[in-house]
Amino acid sequence: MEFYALVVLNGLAYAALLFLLASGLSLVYGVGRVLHLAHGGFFMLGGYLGYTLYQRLGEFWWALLLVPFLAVVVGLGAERLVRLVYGPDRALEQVLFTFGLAFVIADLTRLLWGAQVLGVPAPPQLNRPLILGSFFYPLYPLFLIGVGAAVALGLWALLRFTPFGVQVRAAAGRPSMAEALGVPTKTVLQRTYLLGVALAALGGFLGAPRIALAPGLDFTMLILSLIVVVVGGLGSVAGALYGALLVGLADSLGQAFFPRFSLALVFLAMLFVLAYRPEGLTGGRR
Amino acid sequence: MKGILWVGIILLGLGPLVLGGYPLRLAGEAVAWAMGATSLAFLYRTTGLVSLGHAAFFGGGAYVAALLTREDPAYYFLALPLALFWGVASAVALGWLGLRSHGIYFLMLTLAFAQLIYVLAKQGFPGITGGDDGLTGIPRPPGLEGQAAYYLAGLGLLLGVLALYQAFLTSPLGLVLDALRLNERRLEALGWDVRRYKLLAFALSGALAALGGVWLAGQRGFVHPHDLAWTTSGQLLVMAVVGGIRPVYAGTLGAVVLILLEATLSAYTNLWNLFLGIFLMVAALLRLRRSKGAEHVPSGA
Repeated sequence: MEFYALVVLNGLAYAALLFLLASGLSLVYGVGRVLHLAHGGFFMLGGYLGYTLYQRLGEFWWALLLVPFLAVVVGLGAERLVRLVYGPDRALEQVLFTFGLAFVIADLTRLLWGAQVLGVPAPPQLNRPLILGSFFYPLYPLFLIGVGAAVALGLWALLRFTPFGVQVRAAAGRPSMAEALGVPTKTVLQRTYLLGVALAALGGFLGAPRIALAPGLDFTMLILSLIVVVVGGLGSVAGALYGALLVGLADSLGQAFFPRFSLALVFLAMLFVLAYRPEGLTGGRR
Repeated sequence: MKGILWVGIILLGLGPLVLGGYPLRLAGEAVAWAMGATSLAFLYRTTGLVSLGHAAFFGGGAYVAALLTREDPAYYFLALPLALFWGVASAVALGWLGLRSHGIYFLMLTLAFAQLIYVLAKQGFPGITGGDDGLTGIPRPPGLEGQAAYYLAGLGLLLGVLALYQAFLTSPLGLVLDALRLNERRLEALGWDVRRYKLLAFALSGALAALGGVWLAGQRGFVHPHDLAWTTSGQLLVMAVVGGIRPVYAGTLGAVVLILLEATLSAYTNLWNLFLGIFLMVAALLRLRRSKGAEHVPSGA
């Protein structure tokens, strides 16, 4: 029983990280109709920026606070570039462009931080186990689950109740109509992009105590977040949440029971979802 | 004028033979990659579909060749048809699943398929595929063991493929596919089974990619799971686009340009990916600008 609890909790913690990454990817696709293949780069960049901040400041929480802001600064520049390829029916150009951007980010981080494996320790407050009778579990993954839940709730409230949320939903649903009604779609897109980048960077830093920082992390995470958004349905935050839970738990269970085929199963699932429900499991609802 | 151009191209093709050594090896690789990139360009040209999963066919072909011929080079007679069969069969299976989707969804579908094959080769069956290390010691076909002979044979094969491609475009079948890319709905309304034609183009593309993979395996003498990974698909796509994607020679040109660029740049810097990235972004923007210009042409012509 305890073994299953461990597997599920690990899966949920992983799902939280995947959700931070995938929700932004999904939102940017929803509003800008661009599949942002450089999103994994920002996850990795967040981790590396946080690593440096942590080394300088010596305090996990300050680094956690500053990482999203630094990422937004970088994101401002990147958005200027990605802005050039927004729009429907440009799949080929968008793939080339954001793929290129991903390569640029990957090589620049390698140039700045080197190719060795880096890590950030969990903060001391959370670096101890939770003890419930005979059940031991580290606090940090529980904290990750909490952050994931909080971000999911926050995003839901942001999209549901704020003027910005209304604009995002309008721009995602009927872009030309939204524009005609005076919604500044360009600005909405920019803010959505920055939000996505900040969340990805946050995820990268929060993940650093569990997933080591090394070259290649960006593409690994990108592929996983692509599965998440495809399974959940591109463009929807709720879909990203379901997708993240599914992939996180499937990966954790797979690692526990048949490690050799866990990834293959996840890709097989993606293949069949795409073939039979191309709009994702949540299916075309917005 | 055209004669001079052809003489120039033939000289370029034979140049590596004179240079020998490293340039000849690079040229040998370029032939294999050119076949792979041409298969993607062919798919786009005939159906407008963009695949980000051609590594499954390309690398898959390479693995088929590796598995069969490692024991005995004579098995190339079996490996070649089997690799082509792998390309056709997996493309038909994948196309059967997903040819209703298009654009970004088709792209992701092909990506998912290729990654599935990749992780199966990498982790699923390490006993057969060599896992993370891949397979080494792949011989070349009997009679083509020398690098010069292998390169010449590959060049001939590539030229044959391109000639077939050209003939295909002007054939009645090619004209139907041209119409398909231009206006799928109209063609369907005229009573053509659009899905079957797409499936056919996809299968041919898969077969050609697998052929390129076989050639790469013989050229290098080893296969690695990386050949199946999505970065390989991306690289093939990049080559096709850099070559201009529409012309028959697009894949070849793109492969030659990219391999030359990589060889030159990596001699000076280890930031090859940075330059590749910038190069890609510029290429994408140039394509967008050109397609914007084309929008002003009155439609319905």
